[in-house]
Amino acid sequence: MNKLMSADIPRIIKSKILYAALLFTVFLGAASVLVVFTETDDKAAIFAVASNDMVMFLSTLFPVFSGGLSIILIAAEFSSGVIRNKFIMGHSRTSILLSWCALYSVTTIITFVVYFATFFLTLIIKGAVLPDDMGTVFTNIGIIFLFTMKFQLFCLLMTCIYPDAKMAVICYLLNNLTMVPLLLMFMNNGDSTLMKFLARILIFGYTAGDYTLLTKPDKPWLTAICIITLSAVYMILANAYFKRKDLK
Amino acid sequence: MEYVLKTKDLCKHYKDFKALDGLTMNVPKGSIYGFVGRNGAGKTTLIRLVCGLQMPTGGEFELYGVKCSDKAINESRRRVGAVVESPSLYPDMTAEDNLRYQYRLLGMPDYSGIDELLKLVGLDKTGKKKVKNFSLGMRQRLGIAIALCGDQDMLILDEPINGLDPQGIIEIRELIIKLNRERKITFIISSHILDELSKLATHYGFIDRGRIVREMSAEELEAACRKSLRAEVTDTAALAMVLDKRGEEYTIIDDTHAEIYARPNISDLVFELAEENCKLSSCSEREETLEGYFISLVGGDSNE
Repeated sequence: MNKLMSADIPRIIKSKILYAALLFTVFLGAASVLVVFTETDDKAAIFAVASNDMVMFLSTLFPVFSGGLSIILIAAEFSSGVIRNKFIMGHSRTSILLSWCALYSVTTIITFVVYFATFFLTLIIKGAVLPDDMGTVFTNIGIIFLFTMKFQLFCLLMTCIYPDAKMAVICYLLNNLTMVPLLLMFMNNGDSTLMKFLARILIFGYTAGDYTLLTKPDKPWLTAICIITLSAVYMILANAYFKRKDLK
Repeated sequence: MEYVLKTKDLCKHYKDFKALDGLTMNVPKGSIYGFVGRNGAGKTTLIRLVCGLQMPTGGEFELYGVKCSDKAINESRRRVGAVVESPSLYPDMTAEDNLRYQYRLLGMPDYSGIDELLKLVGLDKTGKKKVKNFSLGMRQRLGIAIALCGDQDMLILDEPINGLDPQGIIEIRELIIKLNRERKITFIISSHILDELSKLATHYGFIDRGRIVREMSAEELEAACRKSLRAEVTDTAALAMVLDKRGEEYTIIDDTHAEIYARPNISDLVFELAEENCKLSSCSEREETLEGYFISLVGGDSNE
């Protein structure tokens, strides 16, 4: 797997698509703060409002954006046929899949770091007051990162089923088409046990209502375990499917 | 004879379609094995199975003595390079970057062999030109260079001259012969362009409807396709006696027919046969082309 990673990471780092995505991320990170400054001058309240807007973006657009980026980068292996070289060289299917998983993580981490760096930098430059409870903020960011990674693994599973750049559009549609019914479900029945459980594995449930990065999460460790478990299920399914898949 | 690839009753079924239907073949070490068949006969399917892109649904194959069901098959595959259908290249990279990527995939400690490989395939002067701007022949040669990255013992080339111009065909042919002679690399070349294959191959496997219908060496094929005189006589024993006396090569086909691999003077032959109380009823010249031989093996129907 190390050989696969050492070959693919430089390829992705040099990819123009990644840099285009990062530019877009910088724009979004700055915009989600700057837009709030047009609404209010209260520098103490800016963070709460901006982080509320940001969470909306992080739960709806960011996973799809980050997942789409990964899908396009991996689908290039299929469209160019380079995937065949990996098989011919004797790399096992599981190690190829794990290397993709690592690549998905790399793209997510890079886009996440760039987004938050821009977000906080813009806040600081504009003179916004940062909250005292940064522990809660970082816990929430960590949980949202896990949700994003879970969506990445869902994208990986989908790539194994249909290895084409079009899958990025399919994942985008799947995410957005399920968003409204899920949000309505969580807003109407948010107190039921089932909904509370679902809120630990679905980002729309987790961030429903007046959620901001300052909202104290309920048992974040349990949410993390639930997300990681579901991610592992996606990974196992992707591996099972990929092992049986006939490639051309 | 030592074989690098052996398949036994290999099957690959896609729902109701049998792409390979009990294929048995043996590829000798150091040979250029021409894998001949029409479109859809199962050539690419076999290559995909050997390369690990697909799993067989029945039968087995051995690559360098390791069975396909064995975990060590991945180790054997490292001795094989392949260009399946089209060369697998990143179009936005240069030839050198594509080779570097391949070197990293193989875990090679340095890139010292890249210049030599580029020179070997005649792409050492492509510089920063991206692969997407390469001609088909250049891509094919880069595909072969990539397949050679790990000092492979065997190369599998699937239709390597498809779409190439005459110059490109000559370049690929010369490269294959050079690699086979100088580096002792075994080649499996699938093709339906028989004329071109006959300039390279040392062994042949004829495939039709997922089965090998005949395996033979180039010498055997040459013998089967050589010029001959088909003679119909009343007594083949007498004909054999006359031809033995003349020291000419022949094959008795049945009681009345024989194949004579020479151009005897017909009048002399008729006279000598008459002395043995044998009559020459008819005589016709035959020359089997490779295409003709292939059609006689597999029939004229399409596989598609």
